[in-house]
Amino acid sequence: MPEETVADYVIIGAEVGMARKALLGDQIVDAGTKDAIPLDVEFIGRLMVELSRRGPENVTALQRAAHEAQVKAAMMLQPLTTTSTAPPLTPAEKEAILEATRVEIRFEQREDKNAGGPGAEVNTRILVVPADRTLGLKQDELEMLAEAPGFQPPLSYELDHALMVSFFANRLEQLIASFHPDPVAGWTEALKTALLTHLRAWIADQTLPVNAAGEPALEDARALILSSPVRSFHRSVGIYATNMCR
Amino acid sequence: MAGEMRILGLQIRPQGRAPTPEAGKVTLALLSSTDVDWRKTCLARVAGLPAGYTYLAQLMGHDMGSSISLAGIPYQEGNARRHAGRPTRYNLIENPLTLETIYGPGPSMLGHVFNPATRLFRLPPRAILSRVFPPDTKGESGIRALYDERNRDTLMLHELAASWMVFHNLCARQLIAAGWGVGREGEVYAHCRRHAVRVWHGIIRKDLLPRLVHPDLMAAPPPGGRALDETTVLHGLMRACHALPLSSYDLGLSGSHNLEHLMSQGYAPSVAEKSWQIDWQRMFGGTPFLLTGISASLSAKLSVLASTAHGNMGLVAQQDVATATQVGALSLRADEVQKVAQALPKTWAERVTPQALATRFQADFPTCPVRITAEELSHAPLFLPLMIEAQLFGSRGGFGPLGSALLRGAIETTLGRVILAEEDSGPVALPTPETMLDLLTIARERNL
Repeated sequence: MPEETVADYVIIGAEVGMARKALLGDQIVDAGTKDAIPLDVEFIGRLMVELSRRGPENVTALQRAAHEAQVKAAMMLQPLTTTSTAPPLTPAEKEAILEATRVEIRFEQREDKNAGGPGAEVNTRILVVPADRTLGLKQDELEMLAEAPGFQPPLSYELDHALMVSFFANRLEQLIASFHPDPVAGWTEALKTALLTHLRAWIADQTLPVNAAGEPALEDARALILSSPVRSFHRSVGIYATNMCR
Repeated sequence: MAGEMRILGLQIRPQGRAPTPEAGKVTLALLSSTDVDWRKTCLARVAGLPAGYTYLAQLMGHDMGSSISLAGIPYQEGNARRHAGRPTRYNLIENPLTLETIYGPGPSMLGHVFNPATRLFRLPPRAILSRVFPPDTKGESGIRALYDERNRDTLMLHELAASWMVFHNLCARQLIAAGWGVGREGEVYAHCRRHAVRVWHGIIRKDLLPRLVHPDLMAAPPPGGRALDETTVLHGLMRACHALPLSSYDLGLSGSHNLEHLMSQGYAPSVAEKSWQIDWQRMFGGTPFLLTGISASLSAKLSVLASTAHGNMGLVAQQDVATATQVGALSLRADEVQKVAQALPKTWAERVTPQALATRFQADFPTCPVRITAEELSHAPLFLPLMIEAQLFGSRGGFGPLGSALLRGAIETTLGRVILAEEDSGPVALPTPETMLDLLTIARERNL
C-alpha cells in the first residue's frame, strides 16, 4: 500500500449536530449562537428545495453568491484516517483547506423546446463527479469486506439507522405478535406482552439521543428529525448532495 | 508487603469474607436500575469530576490488570498448585503500572505493534488512533497495531492509549535527532520506555489520584500496613469506577453522541473511530454536562452494552457482581478492609461503619429505588459500600474516605513495586508532561 504524505479527507456537509457555523439573519456566525440556524446538511437540503422552486431566473448573482457562502460554511472536513500512514491534518490545516474551498451552485434545467406546442421537454441532469481519493477510497475499504448479508448499508449514518429502526418498529411488533405459541412450550400471552414492552423500550433507547444523565434529549435536532418527515427529507437531500464520498 | 512473593500474574485468592449471593442480588438490583430520576439525583450530588478522568482511570485500571480465569493459562497450573489456597485467576498484565497495557512485551515480540527494525510504534506522528493494516484476504479483519484490545472500549480510551504510543515515538525521534542514531535503537527504546513510565507515574500521582482520592486522605501520609490483595483491588475496588461513564458525551465539533455509539463493537473500526474526535480541553476542563462522579448508580446505557475484547459481557453490573462473588474479592466486613476503616481519621471512622452508611444513605436519599441494609452492605461486593460512601462523603466526584484510603494504598503499593533503572539524562531533555491533558497536547502538536 503506497505511503501517502498528505492525510486523506473529504469535504462534506456537516451532519446535524456537528455544524461549525450558523445563520443569524443573513450573518454567518459561530454555531451555538442564540437563535441562529445551524448550517448543516438539513440547511443545505432545505435551501436546495427552496432554490429549486424559485428557479434560476429568480435568483440574482448576489443571492447566489450569498447562498454559496452559506453552503461553504455548512461544510466540514472529515479525515479518512483509519488506514492512513500520513500524520493527521492539524486544526490549522483543516481550517485552511475549508477556507480555500469553493462552492458552486448550479441549476438543472427543464426546458420546453417547443414552447406552447407539442414536443418533448428537455431535461438537463448534472452528474456531479467528486475529486479523486474520495469515492474511490470508500470503495477500496468496502472491497475488503466479506460478501454476505449484514453489512452496514454504505452511505448510511447514525441518524439513518435510528430512522430505520423507528420505521421498522411496526414490523418488529408484528414479528413478536405473530409468534405462535405451539410447538414452543412455555410461551404465554404474558411473555408476549412483556416482550412487546421490552421492544418498545429498546426502540426508544436505540433511537433517541440522551443527555449525560440518560434523559431523552427531546429538543435535540436529531430527536426532532425522528418526528419530522420534512426535516428528515431536507437532511437526506443535503447528505446526498454533499456526502456521496463518505 | 514483606514476605509476599508475587509469581508474575498469579492472583492469590483472598481468604474468606467474600460477598454473599443474597447481598449480590441487592447490589445488582440497585446498580442495574434504569431509573433515570435516580441517576439524575446521584449525578446532581456528585458531579464534580471532569469526564476525561473516567477514561484515564480506566487506562490505569487496564494497566493494573487484565484478570482472567487460570483455566485460560494452563501452563501456570504447576505454580498455582504450590500456593496454599490454589489461585484461580491470572493477571495478563504481569507487571502492573509499567504501561504494559501499551507496550506489551515490547518490540522484539510484537512485530505488528512495533516496527522491529526501528523499534518505534507503528503509527504516524500526531496520530489520533492506532492504525489498522488492511487484510491481505478479502473478508478477513485487518491487523490493528494495538497491544491491548481493551483499550479500544471507547473512542475516549482509544485516543488516550494512542497518545502514549505517539508520545513514545516523539521522545525516540528527539533522541535520534540528537545523535542516538542507527545501531542504538534498543537503547532509544529502553530510555524512552523508562521515561514514559516515569511520566505515567507522575500523572497517576499528581493528576489522577488527587481527583479520585478525598482531600483528607491525600493530605495524610500514605496508608501503611498491608495493601489489599490484587483480586480485591481489581474486582472489588476499581469496579466502583463503573459509575463514572455518562450516558452521552458532547465531543465538541464532532457533536453529541450516546455512549453506545462511542463504544467499539467487534474488531473492525467503529463508526466513532472513523468519524469523530474528542475535544480533550472539554473532557478535562470541567465543561458543564461533562462532569461526573462516583455514586451508587450506573448509566442505563451500561445495562445494554456488550462486547469488548473479552467477548459479550451483557449487563456490566451483572458481570461485576458475579465476578466479585466468584473470585472471592473481599467485602466490607473483611479484616483487611476493617483495619483500614478503623485507621481513618476519627471523624471518618465512625461514619463509614456499615450501620452508619446505611442509615445516612437512607436518610439523605429516600428516593433510592432499592433499600440497602447495613447487613447487606457488609456482605455485598466491596464496590457497593464504596459507591454509597462516595455519594455521601466523596469530594468533587471522587471516592469517600475509606475508598480513598484503599485506592491510595493499592496504587502506592503497586507503584512502589516498580523499580526503574536510574534515569540518565541522555543527549536531550525529553518532554515531561505532568497532566494527561498536557501529554495529549504534546502528542497532537509536535511533528515528530
